[in-house]
Amino acid sequence: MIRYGNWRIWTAASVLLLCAFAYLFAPHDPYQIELGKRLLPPSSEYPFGTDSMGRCLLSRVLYGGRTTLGIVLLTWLATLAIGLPLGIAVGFWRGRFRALGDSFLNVLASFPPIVYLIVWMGAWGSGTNTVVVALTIASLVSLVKLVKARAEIERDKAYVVCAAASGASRLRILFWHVPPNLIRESVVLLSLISADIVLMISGFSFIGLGVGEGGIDWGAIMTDGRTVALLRPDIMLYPLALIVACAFAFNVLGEELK
Amino acid sequence: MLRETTLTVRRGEAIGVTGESGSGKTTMLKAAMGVLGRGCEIDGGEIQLDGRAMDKLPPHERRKLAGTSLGFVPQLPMTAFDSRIAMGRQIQAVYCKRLGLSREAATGLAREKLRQVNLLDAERVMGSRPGALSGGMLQRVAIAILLGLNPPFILADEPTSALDPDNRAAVIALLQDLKPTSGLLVVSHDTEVLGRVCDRVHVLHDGELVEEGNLAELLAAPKHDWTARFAETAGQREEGYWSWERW
Repeated sequence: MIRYGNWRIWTAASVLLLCAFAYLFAPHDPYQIELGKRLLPPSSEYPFGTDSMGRCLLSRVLYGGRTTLGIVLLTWLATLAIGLPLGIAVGFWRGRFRALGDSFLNVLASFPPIVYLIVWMGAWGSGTNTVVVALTIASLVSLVKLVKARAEIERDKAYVVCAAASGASRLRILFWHVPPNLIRESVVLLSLISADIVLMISGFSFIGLGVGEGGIDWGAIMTDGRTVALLRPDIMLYPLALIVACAFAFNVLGEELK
Repeated sequence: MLRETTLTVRRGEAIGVTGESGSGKTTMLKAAMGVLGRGCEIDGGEIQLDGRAMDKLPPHERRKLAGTSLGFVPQLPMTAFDSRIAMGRQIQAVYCKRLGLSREAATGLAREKLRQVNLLDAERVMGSRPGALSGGMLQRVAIAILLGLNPPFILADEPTSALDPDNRAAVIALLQDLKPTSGLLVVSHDTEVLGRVCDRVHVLHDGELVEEGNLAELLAAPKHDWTARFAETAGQREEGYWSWERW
């Protein structure tokens, strides 16, 4: 059960909410380039200083949180919307469909997420959508496998048999009675893989496969910072600290929800 | 699993089936209900309801019979309901779907039937999730649903095995109430259910019916080994189940 007085959950959730919404309080426009103010040290006007293009680093880090956590949220929603019904269906299927579903999942699972990212990037170009699609496919596999295994257990439970015995249709059982009994485990799993998702988004951006030119995210800020690491080593530390904080918060949230 | 098993249940009659675990009792009920588990198939024989072969019906036709023509009393009422949905909504859903009632009418009927099974605080029962109610209460709710649907035939799978003595007596009384209007097929090891509810009792052993008669006859002159052992333990239970001296 969720204990509402559980401070760990609240702390983790607060960290994530802060990272997601702090951009509202950003002191400057994160895209505003002022070449006369390049690589300024932290000051009262620019608390984290400025980057190699003279943009306010604090504002960029805060907007980066919006991008990263926005991608995590979209990935969550897409994964749940596709993974839950698909997992339940595969779990309840029998015969030939089942083998087909299993094989399909195994094929999906056999590629690392970066492969999907590269394929989609080739087809669509870089951008937030591409990252969301690649991450959704990558996290879909683990969710579908979990839901499938749980659905197999649910299928033989008395309430499913009794629902069938009182005339509930297969669709009603599949999509009305079973999902609420699986949603909790799904959310826990997603919280735990969210830490990986945050790291992946930043990792992708760091190697230049991220949200692209228009977007700001922590991985991209770190890439920019790398070129001036000798002059201003702290530029890489701000996004790094937030990546660690978010990954940690997601892990805590997942563990506590369990 | 089941072979050469022929059973006929008429309306107003209660037939009991007993036998050792694994002999195929529950499989028989599930086959009749059309909810056989994974890897189970009917490869011969027929299941008829009022002369119609049920196992040959397409699934949607078959579903129409579930609840309206064939009722089911589960073995473990604690797991028989969806644990995330309030009881009232679950009962309402069955009544709306099976009887074609409006929501209000279904709720009214649910309230009335819950009172009939002696769940007088019907509002509280309907507002609770299954986890908040005891096994005995849930089994009475299951029977209340059947009272509302009033199916001509009812299958009961060990209806008293998970209940305490008080609730057991209440459920036995309710099954007796159902008897005049419905045909009952009761799977049980409970001599009280078999004796007080059932007119005839069949003994199922290793997938075959080996003996039949009323319970008193079976216990007095058992022909099969398993029945003899059953009679022996039943006798012991009746003599001094609660007596400390025997220890």
